[in-house]
Amino acid sequence: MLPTHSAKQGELKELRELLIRLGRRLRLRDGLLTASRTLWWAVLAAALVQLLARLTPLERAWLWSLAPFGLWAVLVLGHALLRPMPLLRVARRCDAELSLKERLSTAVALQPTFQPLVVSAVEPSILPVSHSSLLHLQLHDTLSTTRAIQPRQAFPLRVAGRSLLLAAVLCAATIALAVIPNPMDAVLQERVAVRQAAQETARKIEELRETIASEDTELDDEQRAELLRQLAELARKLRENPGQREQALADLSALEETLRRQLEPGAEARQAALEQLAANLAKLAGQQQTDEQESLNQAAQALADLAAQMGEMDAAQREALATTLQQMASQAAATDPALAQALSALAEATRQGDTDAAAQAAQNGAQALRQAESDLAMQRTLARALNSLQNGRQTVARAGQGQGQGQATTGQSGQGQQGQNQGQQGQGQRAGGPGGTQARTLPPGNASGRAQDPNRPNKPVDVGELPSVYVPRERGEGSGEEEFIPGQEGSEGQTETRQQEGPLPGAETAVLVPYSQVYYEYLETAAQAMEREYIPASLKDYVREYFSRLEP
Amino acid sequence: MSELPITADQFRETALAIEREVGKIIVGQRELVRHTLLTLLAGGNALLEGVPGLGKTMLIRTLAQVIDCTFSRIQFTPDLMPADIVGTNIIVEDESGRRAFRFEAGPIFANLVLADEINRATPKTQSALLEAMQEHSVTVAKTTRPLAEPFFVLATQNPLEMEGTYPLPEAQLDRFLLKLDVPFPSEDELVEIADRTTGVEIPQPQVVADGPTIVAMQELARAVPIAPHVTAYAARLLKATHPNDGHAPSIVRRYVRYGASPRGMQAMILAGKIIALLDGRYNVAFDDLRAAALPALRHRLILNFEAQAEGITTDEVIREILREVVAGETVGQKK
Repeated sequence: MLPTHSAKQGELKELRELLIRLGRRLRLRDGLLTASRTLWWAVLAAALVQLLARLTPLERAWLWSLAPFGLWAVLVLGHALLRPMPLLRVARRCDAELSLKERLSTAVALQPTFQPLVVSAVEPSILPVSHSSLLHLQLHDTLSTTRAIQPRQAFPLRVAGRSLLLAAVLCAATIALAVIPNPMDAVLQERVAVRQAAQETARKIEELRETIASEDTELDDEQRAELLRQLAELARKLRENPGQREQALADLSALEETLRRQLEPGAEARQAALEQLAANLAKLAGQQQTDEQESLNQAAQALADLAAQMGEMDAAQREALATTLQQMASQAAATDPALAQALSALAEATRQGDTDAAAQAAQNGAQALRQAESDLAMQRTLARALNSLQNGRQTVARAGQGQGQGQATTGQSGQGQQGQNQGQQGQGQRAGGPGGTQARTLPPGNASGRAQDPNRPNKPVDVGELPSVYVPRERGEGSGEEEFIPGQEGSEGQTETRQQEGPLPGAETAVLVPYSQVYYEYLETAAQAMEREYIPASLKDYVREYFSRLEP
Repeated sequence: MSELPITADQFRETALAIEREVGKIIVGQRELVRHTLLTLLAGGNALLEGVPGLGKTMLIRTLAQVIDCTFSRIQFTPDLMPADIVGTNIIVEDESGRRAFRFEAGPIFANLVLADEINRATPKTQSALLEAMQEHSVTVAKTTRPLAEPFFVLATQNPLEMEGTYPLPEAQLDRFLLKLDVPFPSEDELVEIADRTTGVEIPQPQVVADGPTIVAMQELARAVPIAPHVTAYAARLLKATHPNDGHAPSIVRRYVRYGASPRGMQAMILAGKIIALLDGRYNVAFDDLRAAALPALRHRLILNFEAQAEGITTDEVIREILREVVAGETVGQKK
């Protein structure tokens, strides 16, 4: 007796629901089993990350260690939730695991209700009655068997014990790797400090750039635009610097070198001479002495006044004025040839009483003075920018190195060391060497020799034995005062005059300065020298090893 | 097709009753009885191999008695002729004196036929029996005569005394649905045999079925559903018996010369369906196929000389196949 269609449909629907419920349970169990089996992969990856963080500086190592867990969780969840599990597969797994003798899978495979899921389902109308009857008996038998299945009891949740044990061991190793102090942390802290210093330097350079851009000076537009572009480019590079000290120093030094090349050696002397000349001209023209900024404008006006007063002078007065102007021209010849030529022409016109020529010469002189003023303004701007770059370079060089000592000594020696560096530059350039940077980058006072024990030439002495280092004091007019050294042009090299703005280390307080105070400065100087000069690789290593042994 | 006059429950009850009644006479040998019954209900024929005196004749005689069918026994000898099996036309004289040919049916015209020591007859005689087994009919003097249903041949072979025998060729062995090994009884079974056969009271089996019931059971057995993936498993098992198959286990590649024919798969499935019904199920399981694999395949595998030299039997090969070919896929291939 075959069942009614509706009764059969009801049984099929019930079977489907039971299968779906079993499928959910299987999915949960599989997911848990997969998770427990594969957890050690994620822990192993985290351990490898921690290990890698000990071999190479790795920022946010903990975050990277957590990344494998995130990936693992996504994969496990994806596998558990998204893996296709059609009813036939559920039925076959139930058959296999519960020893149902293929009852479920046969029902799913042969019942037409599951036909969309199983291609081979048989259309009942073409089956003989006996077969249909057996099919229904089979369905009924399957349903009664499936009803008795309790998913929780039939498919208890399981975990892979060995894999979990392995994961636990790896987890302990990972935690140990994370907890034990990592030598790379110091490197990372240094990188952060360098990055912050670079950012700070970039900010200051931006401020300087804005100041230069907003100043209403006599700067040449093209030169100002080029300078602003270079500063902006440097600021961008510093902002993008990930914490690489060498790169930041190289960027700073490159622009510093460019600006230094643009800096005229006799700018300060020229300005002083021109100001002196302006004062003399003002005195000649009978004008009141004004401030230095206005002195050149006043000198131009004085030249015009002198040319205008010439018609009222007698021959003797003109001769005296001409002689004075000629002397001024001689004085200005070294610093400003154009102005000297104009003064000389004015003197000649005065001597001859040629008012037209005198007016023309006075006009030329005023133009030369304006040009000189523009040049000097540019030089001042360059010097200011250079100063800012040097400060930035020192900030970056000291960032993250010996932070405790650095903080203690910053107030004492920061400015002094800067002056010391510049003093060295001047010293080296006075020697007339082909490269001005060589003298600048050499450590002062042959300090490298002092760090070794004479009895053991190749063995650096214990730095603890040398708390202070002797730093020879440069001979000069006075500590901290500006010193102008006129350059001399020669065929062998370029002569420059450098400004000494600060005292040498120990000049203000004592001749002996703490060893740790000068160490990093010497290290930086040596590093810069190695960057810019051709030095064989073996010698570079030698220098690095030398400084690493001396590191306080 | 009309609904069958027997239900699955009746099938099971009847089959178990037959087993029970046969078991009254045949001591032990449960597997032999079960497989013999499987062959009968599947509509096939069985080949028994065992030494004399193990109750082969008694088994089929009892079976015929239980299902109320005719039984005949043919002792195969070298001088046995086909006509001795299928029958012949003889001249008879009626009451009026007229002479005419009359067909005298041979012993094949019975429901259950015991072909004892079939390998002692000549191939010509063997083929006469095998044709009857396959076609369920015999042709004598251009006249085809159908055999009575159910028709079941139980042929026996004696593994000893092979001299002067005519071993069945592979093509003819393939006609047997199952090949059954008759094991020697255990000590307890021997005691039981002695008690039953030497005492005063001889147990008598009861009739529990008849020919039409057996035919109906045969039809019902064929209607048992089998899922496609279960059929596919049977096909994989069969393919695994072929040494050239990619999934064949190493033992097959090493020792098997020829694998089983598709009749082997048919035999496994048919036997599996009956096993399922006897187990109270309405579908074939993988285990049913595995249970039928040995008797269904053992006479269809042809081993090579190396296997014969090393004493490898087809049963060992089939067991290895069953181990390696799992329900889902081939687990591993040893190279």
